[in-house]
Amino acid sequence: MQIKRFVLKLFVFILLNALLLTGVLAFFSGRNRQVHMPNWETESNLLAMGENEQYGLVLLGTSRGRVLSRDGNHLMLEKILGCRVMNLSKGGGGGLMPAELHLSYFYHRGNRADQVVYLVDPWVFFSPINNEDNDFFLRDEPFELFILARLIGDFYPMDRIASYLQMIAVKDWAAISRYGAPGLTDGTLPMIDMQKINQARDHYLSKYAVRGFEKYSPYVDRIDDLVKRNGGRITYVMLPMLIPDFPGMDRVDQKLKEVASRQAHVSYYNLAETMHDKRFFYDHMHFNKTGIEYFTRNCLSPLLHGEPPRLEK
Amino acid sequence: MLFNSVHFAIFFLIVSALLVVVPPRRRWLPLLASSYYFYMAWRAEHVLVLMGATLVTYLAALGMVANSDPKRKKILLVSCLTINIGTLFFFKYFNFFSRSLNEALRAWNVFAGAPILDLVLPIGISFYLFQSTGYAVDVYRGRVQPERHLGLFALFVAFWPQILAGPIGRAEQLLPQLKKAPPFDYPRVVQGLRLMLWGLFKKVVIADHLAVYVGQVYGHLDSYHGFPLIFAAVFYTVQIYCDFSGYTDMARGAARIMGYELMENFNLPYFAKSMREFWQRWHISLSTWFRDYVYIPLGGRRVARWRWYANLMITFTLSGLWHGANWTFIIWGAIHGGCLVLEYMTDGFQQRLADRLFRDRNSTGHKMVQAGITWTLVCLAWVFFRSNSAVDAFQWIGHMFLIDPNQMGIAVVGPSSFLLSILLILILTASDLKERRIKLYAYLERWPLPLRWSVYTLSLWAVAIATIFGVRQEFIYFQF
Repeated sequence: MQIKRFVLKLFVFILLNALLLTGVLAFFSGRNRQVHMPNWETESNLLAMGENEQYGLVLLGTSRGRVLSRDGNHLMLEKILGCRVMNLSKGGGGGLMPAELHLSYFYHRGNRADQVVYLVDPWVFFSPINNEDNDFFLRDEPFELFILARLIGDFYPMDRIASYLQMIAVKDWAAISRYGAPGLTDGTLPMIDMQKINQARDHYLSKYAVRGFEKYSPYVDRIDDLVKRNGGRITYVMLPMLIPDFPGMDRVDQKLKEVASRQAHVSYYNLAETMHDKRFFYDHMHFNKTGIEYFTRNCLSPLLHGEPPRLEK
Repeated sequence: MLFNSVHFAIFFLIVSALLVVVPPRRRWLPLLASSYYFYMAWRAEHVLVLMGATLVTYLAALGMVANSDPKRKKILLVSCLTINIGTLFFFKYFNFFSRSLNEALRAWNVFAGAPILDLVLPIGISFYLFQSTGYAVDVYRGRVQPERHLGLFALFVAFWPQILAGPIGRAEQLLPQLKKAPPFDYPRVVQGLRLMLWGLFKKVVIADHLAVYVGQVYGHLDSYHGFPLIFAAVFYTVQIYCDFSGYTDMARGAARIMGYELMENFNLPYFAKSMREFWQRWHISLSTWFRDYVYIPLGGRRVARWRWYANLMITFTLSGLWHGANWTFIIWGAIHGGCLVLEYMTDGFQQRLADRLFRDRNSTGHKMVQAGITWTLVCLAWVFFRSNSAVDAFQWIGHMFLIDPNQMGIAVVGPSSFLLSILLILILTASDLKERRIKLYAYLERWPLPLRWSVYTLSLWAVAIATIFGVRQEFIYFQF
């Protein structure tokens, strides 16, 4: 009898608090939608994203995709491609889970895209640090109840959820979402240094969990479904990579080939062995301006026209 | 697994549910399993140290009652104490003494020294080894009967609410409780929840907020003098109280919900009117442990005056050393011992002075002066406790008097954070003042339900906001 009374009271107390919490969060949700910044001025996706907009191309990826919008490169990209581009890549290693979350919010806001291009780094299929443990992909995004619900639903760690809730207190969005090291894509790699490449390889391998593949690769299917439901096409592009024989590359390649062969709206190109030239990079991972322009003209532009990339080894 | 984590909330829910469904006779089983799980959540392999200490103490205690020969009994006790204290020494103090020895040898140009080992201190080791040691001594003295049920004894050593930071339990108080299976009791469970919430509030909202100011000042000691140092010392005095008593409240609350009563560890220590009284109110389970197992065996006060003072100094210096292998803790303990000796030595003088200055020794004015002096001494001693080194602590005390009108102390964390710190200290003071007359949970009981629930909701929200927007800090006493 006492237990029943206790459980009932506890239930009512929790329910009241849950209602109160939902009310407070709903109050803060979407309060920054009037703050709008173009893709090339902010690292935030939500601030750049409009509502009920039509885009020619949506990009997904990590910082290697984000550089395509930094330093004014975004405008060059749109000029070459002749269409509006929304870059949803996230610096700091935003992998498959962050990409799926941002893309679903993009569609949730009523936006549409003819073509989605996912710029793939193989390690995002393996490393928690690129997925649920990624500490950066929400650090500059305004608070939205939709995203919070998805974080809880996808069992993101409490730290990620807490760091997203911290966004409620942000006032200066321009400052918090500004890229910290502008001008990097203006530089050029002086030489391809195998020691540095090995360092980068070791860095990625240190975060690597072989079993992660089973956990993260289904997000490819979720992303494909999302694009299909919203009437678009998606192309996975394995980005040119100076690190040779990255462990797990074969599994990623196989998975993407299999998905592309199974679904008509999905394509896949492995360009890992292309553009191995120092003039295309500012470090051993990221494209510089020359690389971005070359990649846009010879990969993204043909893709938009339904043709395969023109990059060769 | 921290008490203020989702992991713990799920763990506690499962344990509580298990206790309801498991037959009373077998209750020790889920409690022991959950205690080991709780402990292993930190570093699984350290459970071997815990199991070793449990087994050694268990066997020694059984051996002591089985042997009628006092000499053999003594050998068993000494062996048990040597293993337990030796284990503690090895993990906690080996490197400290090695380093101290090496430094001393280097001063004599001897460079071949003692080895420095790569050791990780098992969490809670000082607490459970002291608890086991106390049990062994009690069995030897015939104060308690040894526990023959290994599972129950293991539970007594590892009981999860208290294993990481106490209170250090006594066999005669805890073991009989663990043998029982108290039924669900609505008021008791609600009291436990209230205690947990209050502990959580003290830790997450008050202690962790004050820690930001304290950390900033103690981390950049060269940049500050005057007021920032004074505020940091005051804030740390409140922080450590809220941190440790908050933990104890959560531990006691959790145990109470399950039907077990842990000993009280704090009784409004900052209202103490003398150092003597302070130690009757602060970390009571440790101070009574030192009293019963160190101070009294040394002779206590039933010896010549100089020996008595020496006993006090030895006890308090050891109590400082118990906190950690650092000279700062040893000096902290010595300061407390010294203050107590001074207090006893000047007892007559203090009374004569009070008679001259105050009409009545029981007047509020006199009590406030006594409490003020005690608090200031305690606060100054905490400077040594918190400092990274003894040199830092002495620098702190030297620079405290260099008052600079340009450094008022507010800018250290900004005006809003500083004002919040003051507000939180006022809330704590108000609640402690109230608690002098009536326990907070009993006081809350009188309030109508909507008001009570509003207080719970506000506290929970404050904890949630502090968790999200504040800087999370480890429990201070976990390092000991």
